[in-house]
Amino acid sequence: MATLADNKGVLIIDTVDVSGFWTELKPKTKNNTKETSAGANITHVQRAKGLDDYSFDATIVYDDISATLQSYIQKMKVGNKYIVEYYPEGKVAGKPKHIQSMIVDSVNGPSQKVEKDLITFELSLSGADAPTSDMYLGAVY
Amino acid sequence: MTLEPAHLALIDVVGDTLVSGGAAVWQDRVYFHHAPAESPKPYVIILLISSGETGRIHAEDSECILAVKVVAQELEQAGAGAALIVSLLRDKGTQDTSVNPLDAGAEWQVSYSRKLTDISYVELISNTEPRFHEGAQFKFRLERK
Repeated sequence: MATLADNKGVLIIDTVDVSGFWTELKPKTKNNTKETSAGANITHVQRAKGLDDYSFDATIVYDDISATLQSYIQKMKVGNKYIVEYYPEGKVAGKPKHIQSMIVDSVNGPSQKVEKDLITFELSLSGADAPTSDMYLGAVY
Repeated sequence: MTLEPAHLALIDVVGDTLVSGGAAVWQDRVYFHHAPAESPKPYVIILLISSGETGRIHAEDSECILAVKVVAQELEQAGAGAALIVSLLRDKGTQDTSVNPLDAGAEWQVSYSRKLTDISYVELISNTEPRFHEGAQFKFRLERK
């Protein structure tokens, strides 16, 4: 068992480290299973494994220092494909790492409210290829 | 190098702002926590209500709540003083305005300021002499530069 501080995750998009700006990181994986149900007397759906599909949602804070903002806002152009690196516990030897080419699917933001609060981008990335380092297969830094 | 706590940097700049902006009313009688005995009225009191990190971003930050009130012998003067305090402290962060935002020094930036609840009560000195306290609580968000 472990209780993580939840604040050491490193996220790098196309070599730009946005680790100081995220407020929430949510890697997601799913398998596109195929239904293979067959037979006259079956009572439950049968499925077979399909292709793995990895995606990543990140909430990034808007920074008011122009040069800092420019360093990462330009990595949020939808449709662009980047190498995304994710290290849940930071770049520490023996800790998980995940490296994969991903496409910027959608970006919501900068979202703001009249109630004084953080201004954020909600970034959604989808896998564009098989990971070169897959943390779900045990890849470590 | 000793790093300055956010609330001390904030109290400094709020005090300076109140002295310069309210000199015609209370001159330099702006005090932290309590006024000297027999201080002429009106005067202003700044109280630290709370201060601490939000934990919502990676950088060091602080949300400070200050109570700022004017103490006067006349209700009208106290009310006018409270309105002046609000005009000097509300929406004065760098995210609120580009015109003379609160300058908290070399280490901290005041991102925003917000007026919270009003303060309004009467104190009776020797059961006869009213003393009017009028002002408001303010929330300030600071980030380490």
